[in-house]
Amino acid sequence: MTQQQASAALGVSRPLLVAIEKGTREVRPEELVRLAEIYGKPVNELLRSAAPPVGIGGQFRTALGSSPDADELSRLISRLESLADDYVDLIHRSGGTLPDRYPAVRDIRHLEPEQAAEDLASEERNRLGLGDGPVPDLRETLENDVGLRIFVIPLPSAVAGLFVYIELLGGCVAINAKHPPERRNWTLAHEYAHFLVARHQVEITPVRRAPRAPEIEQFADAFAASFLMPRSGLTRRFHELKRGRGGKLTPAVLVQLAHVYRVSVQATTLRLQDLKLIPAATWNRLSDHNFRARDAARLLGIESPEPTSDELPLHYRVLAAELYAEGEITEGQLAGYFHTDRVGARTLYESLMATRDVAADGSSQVIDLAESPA
Amino acid sequence: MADRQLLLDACVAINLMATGRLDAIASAAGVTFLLLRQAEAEAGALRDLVGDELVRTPIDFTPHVHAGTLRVVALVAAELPRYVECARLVDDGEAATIAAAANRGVPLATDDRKARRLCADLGLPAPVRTLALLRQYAEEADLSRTDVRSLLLVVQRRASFAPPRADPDSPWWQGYFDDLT
Repeated sequence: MTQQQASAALGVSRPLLVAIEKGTREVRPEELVRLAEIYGKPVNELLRSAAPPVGIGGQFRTALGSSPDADELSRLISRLESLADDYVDLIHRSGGTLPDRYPAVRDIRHLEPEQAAEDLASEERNRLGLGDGPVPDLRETLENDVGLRIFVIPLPSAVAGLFVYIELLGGCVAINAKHPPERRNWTLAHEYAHFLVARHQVEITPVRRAPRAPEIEQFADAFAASFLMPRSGLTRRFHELKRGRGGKLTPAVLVQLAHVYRVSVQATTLRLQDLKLIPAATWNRLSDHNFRARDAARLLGIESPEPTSDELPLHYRVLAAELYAEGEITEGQLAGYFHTDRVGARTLYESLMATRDVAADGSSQVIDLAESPA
Repeated sequence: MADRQLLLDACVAINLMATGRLDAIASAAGVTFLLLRQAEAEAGALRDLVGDELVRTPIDFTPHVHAGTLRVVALVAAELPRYVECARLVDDGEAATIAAAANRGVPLATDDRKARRLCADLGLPAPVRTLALLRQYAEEADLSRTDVRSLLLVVQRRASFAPPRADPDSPWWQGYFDDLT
């Protein structure tokens, strides 16, 4: 809604509305109530003491330019902006600061992308103490140990993820909730690469990379492969699995490796090809034979990992729950931060603040870690 | 319709709606419930198990409005300044309920800790809680232990409600769950 439309709906001149919004003219209660109706926002939200600090739409304008999904993306970027505003508001209320252990931005200009990606992925794994094994929960690692803010929201199917750096929040990533967990992991690692080398450039990551994509995209994909499937660990596991099958390379080996590393069979196969552990055309041959990774996994009794339904970063959810537990916000405000209704907020609160343990008789018991706040 | 009125905030309204016995609870308390439009808008949905699936059941106050046990009301102009003042601190539903309670001299019901604190700061009488209303209803209706437990279980399950330990009726609630654990 434009200011012209809003001022007409409020029955005041546009300059007067601007003055109200800037705070140079005190708003009357009835005007505020009407403004909340016009903007479709709670009065409580309009009265937040911290000014809405996050304006990311402008940063994405150029990146959106030629996208066929520009309109839908623009709407979703507004949603991300609103979530980021809520996040900043929570931090303001809690009087806290965001956790971050951000490494300095790495300059990869004039370096060969594949090698630079391999080197940086190895450094990052060492820095985060990940060894050379699979990352059990990539989202948790990147949220808690790196300090990225990760949102899982439905994006257009052709878009894998978004990255934007917001001064008050740090590196923010949105990954496509419609995609399977394996693809989400890849996207997360890809966006992490952008964070490491081009933190101040917004990124819209398509599912399929254009044939002449910029070098940074090649770098980000190579980083994702190296970070998720480090050379030494993958090589060792590959040989172990192959030995277990009498030295033969079978699709089952690829499916099992993909499951262990929580990535797609295609990503695993291409990584093994790059490492020259399998013939260069293996993935093409599998595709030619109409190989279906999900069916193969099912035959092997391998369950696909459950996708997380948590739209909001864990740190965000915990901040909101703690504020509610301390009686600093109401149940209605908690529901607003959780973007659900009150009963949904109660359920989510309980899951965050209670932990299941085993009683002496072996039955499970819920231990409430917070005084119920009401 | 009873002469006495009680303003419900959204959290208490949700809990009472979860019982499916709002009319009887109003009758036991000898009140007509009032619900501000802002609180009505925040009620959302209960959760019900249909087969193995948890489904949302939108809360609809209409039958109780028709029965005359609940009235959905709007703020009047004189209440807007207090409403906006309260909305700086609490959500719109709580703010509207507190503003109306302050202006009309009508008691209110809320379990919300921050809202209760705000009532105290404004010098309003201590709000009624969900459990007090349920307990009064259980005693007035002379419900059996089994019936009371069913009533409380349905609030716990459909509304995800857990009373705070600070609630003076918390031991009463807990007494019905002790032999379930």
